[in-house]
Amino acid sequence: MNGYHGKVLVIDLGEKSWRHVAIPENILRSYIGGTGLSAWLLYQLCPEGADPLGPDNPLIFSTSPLVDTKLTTSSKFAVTSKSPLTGYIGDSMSSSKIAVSMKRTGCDAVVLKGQASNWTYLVVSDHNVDFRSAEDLVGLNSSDTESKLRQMLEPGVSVACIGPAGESLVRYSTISNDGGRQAGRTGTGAVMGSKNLKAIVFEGNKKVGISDNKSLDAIRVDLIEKSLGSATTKYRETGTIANASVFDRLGSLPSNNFKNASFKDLSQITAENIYQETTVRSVHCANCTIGCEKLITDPGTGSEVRLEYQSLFALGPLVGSGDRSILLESAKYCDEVGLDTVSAGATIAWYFECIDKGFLKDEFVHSSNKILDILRAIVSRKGIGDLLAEGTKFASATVKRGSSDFAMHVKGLEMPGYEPRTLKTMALALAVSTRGACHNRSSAYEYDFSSVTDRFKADTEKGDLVAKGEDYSAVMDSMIWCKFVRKVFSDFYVESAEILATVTGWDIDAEELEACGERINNLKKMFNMREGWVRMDDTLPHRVLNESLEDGNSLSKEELNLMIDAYYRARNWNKDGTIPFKTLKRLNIDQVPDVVVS
Amino acid sequence: MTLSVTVEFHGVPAIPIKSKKLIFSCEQIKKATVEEVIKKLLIIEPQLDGKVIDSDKNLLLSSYLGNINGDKFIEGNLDEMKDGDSLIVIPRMAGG
Repeated sequence: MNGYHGKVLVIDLGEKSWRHVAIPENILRSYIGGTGLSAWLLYQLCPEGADPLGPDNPLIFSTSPLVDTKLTTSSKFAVTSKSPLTGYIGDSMSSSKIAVSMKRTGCDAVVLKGQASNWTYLVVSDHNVDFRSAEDLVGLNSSDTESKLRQMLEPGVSVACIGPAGESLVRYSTISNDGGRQAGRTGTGAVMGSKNLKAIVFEGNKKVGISDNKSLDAIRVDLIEKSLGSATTKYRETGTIANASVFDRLGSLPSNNFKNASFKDLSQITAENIYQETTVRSVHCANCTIGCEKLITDPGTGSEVRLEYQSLFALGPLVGSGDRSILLESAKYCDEVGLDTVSAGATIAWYFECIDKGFLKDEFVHSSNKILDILRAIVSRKGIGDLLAEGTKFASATVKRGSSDFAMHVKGLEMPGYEPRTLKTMALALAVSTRGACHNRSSAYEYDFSSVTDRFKADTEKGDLVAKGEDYSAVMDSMIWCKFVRKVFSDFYVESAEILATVTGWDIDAEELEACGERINNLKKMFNMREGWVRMDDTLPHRVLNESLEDGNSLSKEELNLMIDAYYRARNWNKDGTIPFKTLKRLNIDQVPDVVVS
Repeated sequence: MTLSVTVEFHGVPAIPIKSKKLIFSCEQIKKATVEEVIKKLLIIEPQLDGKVIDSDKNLLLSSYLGNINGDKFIEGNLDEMKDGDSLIVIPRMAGG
């Protein structure tokens, strides 16, 4: 088989055992890799009703057929599990050399089951899995954990690890790799922590075959050229932080816990200002020509801080802070301890509002200066930090007193930096996404920031747009392409099918590839339905549906339901959002086999 | 009759020019197409040629997108602008 090893490595941490299990080729062709393959594995391996932080919840790392092809932006992997924030499917992606190292251990995915009796790290090679004590690593932040493991082992090994946040089971903790990159959303770091697994080291030399190397070389050169063109200018020039002033001008930048859609104190933290007043360095993932990652030198501390738009939004406007020093320090801290900046910022914004309303005793005052102290309390779970470590859904359910009305999450996952009342396609996407308030699994914002649709209008055309966007994103996240090359393709499905055929030798075409996207999204929905999903889960926070913005823009529950109905129709689902048998049959997922790996 | 138009730059396009807003006038007309506004803009700020504007086509470069008053995204250069309107120039890619 070309492009794949055709195997999954299954590791049982409780029993300290491992084995390889073959994956049928038809499954690989149906779910491709990345989030698609891992969704299939999760559906097989996660027992119904499993505790997300219990030993039965599998933690799945998956690569893709494009990993190790040296195609630009293809060095990516997905981490999937039942999310401790939502109780539904949770997946997250990260990038760089570790994806190649993981694949060279001779498998397409690694499944971690059970729970180690003591803190453990794994050394996974192409012929062995070694279980080692991690007692000396406990408490270390992510970069120190990586450094120490490289010192102890080999300088070139790749490491995925959790920081102190994952050890403390903060429900929105991340898994870190390659010097601070994060599989950030849905709390996979807490799942890893629940297994007493501090780190995984990958070192291998097994390469997969490529069906047509000569053609792939030509594709590689062509993609490099295109990736340096106008389709990626923003990512190369300033990275995603350019969004801040754009979204602010267009009334789409949520601030002050989504009370407002622009931010009066933004000036210090725009890309324009940061580029004028600080030093910024571009960094590339392995095999990437774009270099979207920007390391900003904090003038206060002299240290370099990785900053992208979502972190800027969440630790800045969302919490009501326009202080650049506090933003940079907080973002750096979150990366080091392994906290999802979006959920962390949203939880602090909720806490500030609880203080303002007198719902919680003022252990901290509502002040930007306290953000870092609150983050530290969350990671150590000291005082109020213990409650805030649970995220807004659980914390507001504990506090009650109407605090859930301003807990800004969907299904438990905190909202990203897109204002749904002025971006109506995005509003629908946030409401129906299987992983909660997610901006990455639909690309719906693309439609709102274009002439394709009226972003202020809640209409039925949004249903089709979101369904198409989700399927397209599912293929991107399964191939796996970085989202930032999406516009270099003239015809995404045709060109991606051609590339997949070149790597694997399959006679796959655009139509079949598009159907993979639809199949993956339906399977994710099936997982959620098995875990108790009901239509009322597809909604938006109370504040969004009941409070107008200062410019009068609003979104009513009726308007959202109109769009949700249209989305279900576009998906060929029932009115209640469940999936009819004929849709499953058309997508060949009517007979999802029972557990294949026991 | 003088048509006064504001051109705003946000994000990436704001970096090559130090100013975020340019306000200028097109005389003797009530309304202008985006193409006419871009031609005028190039006269005032010629350094935008090749950085933000394609002077051969009198269009924004394909990396950028125009929006009028925050309400309507434009494609091409035939949309009309009226007195007091703002042409907002932003990066085409919204993701992140």
